[in-house]
Amino acid sequence: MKNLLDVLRRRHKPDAEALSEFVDGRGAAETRASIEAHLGECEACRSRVAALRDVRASLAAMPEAEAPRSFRLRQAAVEKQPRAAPPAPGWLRMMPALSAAAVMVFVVVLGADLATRDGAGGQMASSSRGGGASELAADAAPSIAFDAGADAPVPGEPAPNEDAAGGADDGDDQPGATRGTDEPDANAQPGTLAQTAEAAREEQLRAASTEAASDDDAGNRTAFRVVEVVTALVAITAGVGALAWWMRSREARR
Amino acid sequence: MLNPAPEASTAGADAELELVRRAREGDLDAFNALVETHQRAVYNLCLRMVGSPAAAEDGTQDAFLSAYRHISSFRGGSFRPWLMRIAANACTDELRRRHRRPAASLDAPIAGSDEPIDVPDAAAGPETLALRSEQRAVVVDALSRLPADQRLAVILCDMQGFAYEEIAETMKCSIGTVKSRIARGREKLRGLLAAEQMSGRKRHE
Repeated sequence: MKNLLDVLRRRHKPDAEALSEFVDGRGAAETRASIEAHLGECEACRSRVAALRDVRASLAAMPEAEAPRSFRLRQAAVEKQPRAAPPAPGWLRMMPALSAAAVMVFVVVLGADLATRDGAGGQMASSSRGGGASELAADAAPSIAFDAGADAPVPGEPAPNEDAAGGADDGDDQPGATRGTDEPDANAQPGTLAQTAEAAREEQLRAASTEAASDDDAGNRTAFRVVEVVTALVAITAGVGALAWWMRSREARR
Repeated sequence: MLNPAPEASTAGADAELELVRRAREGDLDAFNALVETHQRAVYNLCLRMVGSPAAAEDGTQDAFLSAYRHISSFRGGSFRPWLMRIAANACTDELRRRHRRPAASLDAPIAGSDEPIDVPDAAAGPETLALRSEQRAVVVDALSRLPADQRLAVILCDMQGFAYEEIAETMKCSIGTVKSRIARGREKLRGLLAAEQMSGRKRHE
C-alpha cells in the first residue's frame, strides 16, 4: 500500500522510463541489477513491468502484412520526377546568409561613415579648439554683449578675442563661415592692425587644427572606405555564387 | 514477427551500399533491388502509422519515389533508418492529405475489416481467429490515439525490432528522446488497452 501511494506521488524510485528501458533489456548493468532487486520487494512495480511486457507482446503479435503488390519503380514514373541534385556542400549553403550579413555590415558602416561626416566633423574640429578658447569665450561674453550694444551692428565689428570666442562659441559654424566674419572685420577697423594680425594668427591656428582634425578625419574616411569596399565585395561575391548554384540546381532538376 | 535488419551481416551491408551507390548514378534496377528488400517493412510501417491498407499503399509508393528522388542525399551509414525516415515523412503527408485520425473505429461494419488478410493459424479454431481479429482492431485503434512521434517510436521498437540507436537515427533525435517517447507511448497504450478490455468485457455480458 505504501508503495502504491509512492507510485501515485511519483516519488517511486524506478520511473516509467527506467522500467520501459528495463523491459527492453537495455540500461547499465548496475541499473538493471538495482531494478531487479527492487522488483523483488515491490508488488506495484512488478505489475507495471508485467503490464509493459503485455503491451510489447500485443504489438509484436500483430501480424506482419505482406506487401499487397510490388513497389518497384517504373521508368516512366521516375522520369516524371527526376532525381534531385545533391544538396549543396556546407560552405556553399552559407553563401546567401553570408551575402545578407555582408550587406547589413555594409549598411551599418556606410551609415556610420555618413553620420560622422563633414558637418559633425567640423564640429569635432572646432570643439577641440573650443576647449582651449572656452576661457577666452567666458571672459569675452559680457564684453561682446556690451560691444554689440554700444557699436554699430557690423557683423565683423568685434575685437580679436571676440573673434576667437565667436569661433569657439558658434561651434557648429563651418570654418568657412568663421572666416567670413573676419573679412568685414579687416575692412571695418583698419586702425586696429595689431588686433587684426592677432586675429590672423588665431585664424591660422584654427585652420591648422582643422587641417589636423581633417587629417584624422581623412584617416577615418580611408578606414571606412576600406571596410565598405570589402563588405560590398563579399556581399556581391557570395550573392552571385549562391545565385549561380541555385540556377544550376534548377537546371539539373528540370 | 519482429523484423530484424536485413543486412545483418557486414557483407550484406556492403552489398546494400553497393546497390545504393549504383542507384545514385541512375541505375533504376539497383534501386528496385533495394525496393524488393525493404518494401514489406516500409509497407508495414505505413500500415501501422496511417491505419488503412489503401493509405498505406499510397504512402509506400510515395516513400519509394521520394527515396529515389533524394538518393543523392544519403550520406552513407545504414540505409534502413534513412529509408524509414522518408517513409515516416510520407506517412505524415498521407495523414495530412486524408485529414483524419488513422485507423478505423471499432464501430466499423466488420471488425478488423481494414486489416489485411493474413494466413490464419491452422491449429486455432474460428473462435480464436475472431477474437484475435477484434484484439487486432483494438490495438490498431489504440495506436491511432497516440501522438505521431510516440506512435512511430513504439512501432519501430516493438513491431520493426529497431534498436534505440536506429530509432534515434530514423527520427533524428537523441536516444534520451527515443526512450522517453517509447515509454510514454507504451504507458498510454497500456491505459487504452486496459480500458478497452474493461468495456469489451462489458459488451460481451
